[in-house]
Amino acid sequence: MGTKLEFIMTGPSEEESERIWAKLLSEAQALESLLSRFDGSSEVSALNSISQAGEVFPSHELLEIIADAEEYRMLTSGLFDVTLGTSKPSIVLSGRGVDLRGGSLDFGGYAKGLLCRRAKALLSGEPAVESAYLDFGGSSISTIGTHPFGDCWKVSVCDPFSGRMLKEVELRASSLSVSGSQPHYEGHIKDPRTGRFIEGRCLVICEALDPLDAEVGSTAAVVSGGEKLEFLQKNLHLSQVSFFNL
Amino acid sequence: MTQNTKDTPEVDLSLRRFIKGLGAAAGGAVLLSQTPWLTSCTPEKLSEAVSEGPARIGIIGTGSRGQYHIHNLLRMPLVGKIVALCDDYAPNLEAASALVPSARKYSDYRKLLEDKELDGVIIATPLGSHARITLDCLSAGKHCFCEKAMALTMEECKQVYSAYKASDRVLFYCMQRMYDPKYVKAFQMIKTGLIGDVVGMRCHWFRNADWRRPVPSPELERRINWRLYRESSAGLMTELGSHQIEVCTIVTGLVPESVAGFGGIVYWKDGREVYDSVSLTYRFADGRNIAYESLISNKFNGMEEQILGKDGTVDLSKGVYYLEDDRSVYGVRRLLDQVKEGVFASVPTAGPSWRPELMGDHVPHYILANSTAKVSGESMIGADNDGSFEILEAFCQSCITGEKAANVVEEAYCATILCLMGNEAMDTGSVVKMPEDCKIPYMKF
Repeated sequence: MGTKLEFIMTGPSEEESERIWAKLLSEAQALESLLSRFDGSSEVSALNSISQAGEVFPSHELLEIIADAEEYRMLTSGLFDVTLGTSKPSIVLSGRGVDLRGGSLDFGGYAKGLLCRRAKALLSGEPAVESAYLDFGGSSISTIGTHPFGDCWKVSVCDPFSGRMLKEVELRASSLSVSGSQPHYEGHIKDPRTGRFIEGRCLVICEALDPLDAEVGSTAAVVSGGEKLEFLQKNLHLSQVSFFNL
Repeated sequence: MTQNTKDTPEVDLSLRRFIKGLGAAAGGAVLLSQTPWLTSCTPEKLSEAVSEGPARIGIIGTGSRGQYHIHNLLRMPLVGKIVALCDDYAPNLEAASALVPSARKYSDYRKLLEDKELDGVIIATPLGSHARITLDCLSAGKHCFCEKAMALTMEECKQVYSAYKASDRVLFYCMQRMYDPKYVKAFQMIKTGLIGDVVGMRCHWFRNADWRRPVPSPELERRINWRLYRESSAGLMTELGSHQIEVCTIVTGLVPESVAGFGGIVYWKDGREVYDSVSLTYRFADGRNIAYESLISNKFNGMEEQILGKDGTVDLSKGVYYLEDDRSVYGVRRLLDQVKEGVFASVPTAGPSWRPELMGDHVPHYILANSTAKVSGESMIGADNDGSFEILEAFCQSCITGEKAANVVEEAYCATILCLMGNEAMDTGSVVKMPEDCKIPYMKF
């Protein structure tokens, strides 16, 4: 997915930690092979390569993911959409097929959230794990329990251009997603409604219990230009959303 | 021999591996030239020393520090063998003898120095006797290892330095930071530009204890609690500050030309004569300063030696450094450092996506990989892995090879003179400059 995954957990023995890490890695690799645009052999890459063919039939797992992403598109009034370039209400056809004609799938802004969600579920299911801090590329953070020496996990988000701290967030078993502009790489989020890159410098911080809600929320809030924050907060169950013009 | 060697029967090679690693590194010769005292204890020279058998060592002063050295010597049987013990305080002598029953016992150090079966002597006596015993050791043709500081007065320092320069005997002072790998590595990192130009230094050593030892009988008060009285002690500056001031002179390669400061007996008003609180500023000719502080009625700040550079800060005692514009560590790695240090603080994220260049705060990096030190500043005897073992082993090696360790005596001389200048500044409330007659060719200002 073109980024890195790191985490800290407390509780498990070294042996248990290695086992848990192996499971997490396996989960990440499975998702990578399914959703990554950076991996030419992933299922999404394969589907995109035949997107003009009409109805295509993804695996059951990918179909479920596409359907879930479609739901997020509805919840965000189209501010979030993994189907770039299509104008259809839905690409999911009756039966098991999808129609990608005129567009392609891009799970950026979704895949990291999904992996965080699955990783969090995996770690929560491990009895030995007392607390955990999971960082996906520095922009998607999920937590379990609290810092070993504190009553929460404190995360500070800085202006990527000036280094000035914008906000400090206290996470208690919740997740954080940060989206927006960054130096040397400003045009990386597209408005799915127009197909154009978002212009101007901004940064959005979203917190939610579900990492995927936070991830989708931050991307959608950037696309909205900060205009539909309350709507997104309500529909995506965000505990907080902050928009900064940089 | 009844030495207990079961714990570590072989020569400790950690420092040698470290030195060897330096030599093997790119620019290794340059690195070693920055810490020339290490060239007398290379692995090759160690092999030579071991083949000639252990140095026969006598210990003068078998109190707590002397016994600490005994425990270390018992762990290095291939280079050092304790053959004689001396103390004029019988309980200490007997305690040491119980550790090394085979060693000959003396109550007068001059008798010990007449011992022909003796190569080197370790002096672990009160500061007030360092100079006299050291001079007698060198005169007796013995190699000598003395606790810091060099002497109680500047005049004594000059005498010792002159005697050393005129002697072919080895002389070491227990300035153990010169043999502590994390310090050595830090010296080299600083000299090779890690933190840019050094712009200042901040050192402190805080404890919360009265610095007293139990006295079995009142007439022993001044002998046992010698650190508290000016006839035998120069107080916090020589006992603690000398180590830290020395770090600053090594890092800069320069000696401060003046010092001002204040000292007082703030809390322990128990009849002691030395200050329990000192605060000084040492000034270099180019305007840079060392801010030095020590007190023994509050331990919050522990012990630190911070070298402040234009591009970063090295905290030698903790074995970490920080960069002013740190673009290498964020998120989980930073969190990991915090957890290791028991710190609960905010974790900076990398930002909207993975671009690890956003740092709003300073993150510690290890000077030696995965190694940091917790330094409370409490120990009076010797902290683990602080270089005391290594410098003692290097001394034993030099006793066998006869090779002096470059700069060790010179640095001890500079540090001691600077500490004594500090005391004079506090006593007189004036700015004290380096006396002309104390300057030696080694000093650069």
